[in-house]
Amino acid sequence: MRVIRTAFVFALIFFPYCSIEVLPQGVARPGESFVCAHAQEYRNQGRPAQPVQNQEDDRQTVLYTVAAVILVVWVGIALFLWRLDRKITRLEKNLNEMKK
Amino acid sequence: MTILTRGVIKSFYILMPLAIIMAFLWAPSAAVLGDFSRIIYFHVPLAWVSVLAFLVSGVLSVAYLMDKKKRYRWLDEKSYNSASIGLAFAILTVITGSLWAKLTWGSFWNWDPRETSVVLILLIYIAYFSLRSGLSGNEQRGVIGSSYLILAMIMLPFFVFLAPRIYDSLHPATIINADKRIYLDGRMRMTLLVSVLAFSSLYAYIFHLMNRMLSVKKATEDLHAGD
Amino acid sequence: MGEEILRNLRKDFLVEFRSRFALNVSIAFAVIATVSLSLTAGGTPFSPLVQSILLWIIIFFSAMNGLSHIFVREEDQATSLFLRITVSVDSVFISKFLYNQIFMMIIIAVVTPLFLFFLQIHVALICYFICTAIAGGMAIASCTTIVAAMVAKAGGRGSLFSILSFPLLLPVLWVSISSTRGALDGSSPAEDASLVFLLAFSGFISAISFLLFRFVWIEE
Repeated sequence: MRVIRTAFVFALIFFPYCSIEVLPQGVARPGESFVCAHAQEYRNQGRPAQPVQNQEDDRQTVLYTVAAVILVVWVGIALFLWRLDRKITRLEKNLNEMKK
Repeated sequence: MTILTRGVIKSFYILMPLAIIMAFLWAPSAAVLGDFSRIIYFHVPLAWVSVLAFLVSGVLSVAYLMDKKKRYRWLDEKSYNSASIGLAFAILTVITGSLWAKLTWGSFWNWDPRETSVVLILLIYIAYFSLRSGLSGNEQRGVIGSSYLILAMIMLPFFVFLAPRIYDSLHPATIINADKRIYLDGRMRMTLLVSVLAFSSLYAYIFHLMNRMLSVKKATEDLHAGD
Repeated sequence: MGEEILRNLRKDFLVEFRSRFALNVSIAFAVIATVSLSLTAGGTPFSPLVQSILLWIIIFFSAMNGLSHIFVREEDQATSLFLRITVSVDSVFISKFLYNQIFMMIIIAVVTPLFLFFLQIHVALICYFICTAIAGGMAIASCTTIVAAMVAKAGGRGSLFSILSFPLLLPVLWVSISSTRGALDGSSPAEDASLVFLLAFSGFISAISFLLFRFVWIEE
């Protein structure tokens, strides 16, 4: 029971943490948030701005990567829960046999 | 255990990956916050499901105290299970919420009315676990724990629903408030709904597993009681 | 039932004041805290907010030291079984509740003037200040009665009582501190709802604890 809880809490922490890897690329206006404004500065420092299509592709790639990472984590948790379910079912069956 | 219940609980295996994919790939990014807003698909369902878990634990405690004939077994342990899942989800809500706060307002914690009330709820339920461990070995543990859970459940509406609505809060407008939707268009609403269902089924599944482990453990103890 | 309540109340007062253990502990804590505060502050004036925070911290912890004694004593001296048999549940609850309220009023009556005296505080709105202190004390005493009953069953080890009451009392402390600050510097608005909140909280918690007490008290 404690194992379920620990694994579940530990893995669920990855969700929001992964979502902050996604940097704002051209969707937020400058000055809206601290990180956005900063990113804007760095991006336009002496270099020509990236064409919009490139930014969109980057963003899509990042989103796909994050989704893939989290899916992998969840497949792991789902497998764990599945195994646990099977073990408990086996225990219950054993118990019913023993009672008879 | 009917097939319907089993189906609802096992739907977790489909719903959660669906929710993840929808949250990152299908839903559009918000107008102001950008892709940071995707955290909403995890933060809000976690919060709702933790309140649900606490309510379930309170209701089971009421049933335990009123059930003189012991028709349902070990309701006090089941309410303990639900409260522990609720606590885990509430802690995750606080973590995700403070990450969002850092991203959008620059600081992790602001002692906003909503944040303060969530901390209060956390403290109340952490105190419940201290009470239970202080009462270990006492056969009144179930009764006293249940009374405390009822007390906690009754304080819940004040902290979760009333306080953030009465005091002006930095927190984004609550979703249930009909005329204050900031940026929920159709796709986002759909994703949020799926995410809520996914987390609810996760809660139902883990609760169900914990209860089954409980009954196996109790049945084994009963069997070996004669040794 | 009224007679039972009065009789129990009288008995509780006699027993508690025979040894005066809880009263001594609470008031000693308050005195020590206030005196060391005043000593180390060395005459530096605190702002009204800090003054009200300190006052309520001292009142709260004095209450934590003393208010659980009424139930813990019953368990320690093994008189709880006798009480359970002879007196009805409601009478027990009401008499303990009234005892806690009176005890809390005594604590506040001792602690507050001491605090005002040692820290040389000038109160702008005296009547409002007194009302806030009394209302806050009532709220604290209402909440702690049921928690004390639960903790007594758990062996009554010291910090469990504080851990359990603190989250439940945090809103009371918050409201009391802000309205005491308003009373100390005179900035509270005329239609301030803090007193109403504190009294409503007391009533609400008393009702719930009255309903829950029979489950905690009766052992089957």
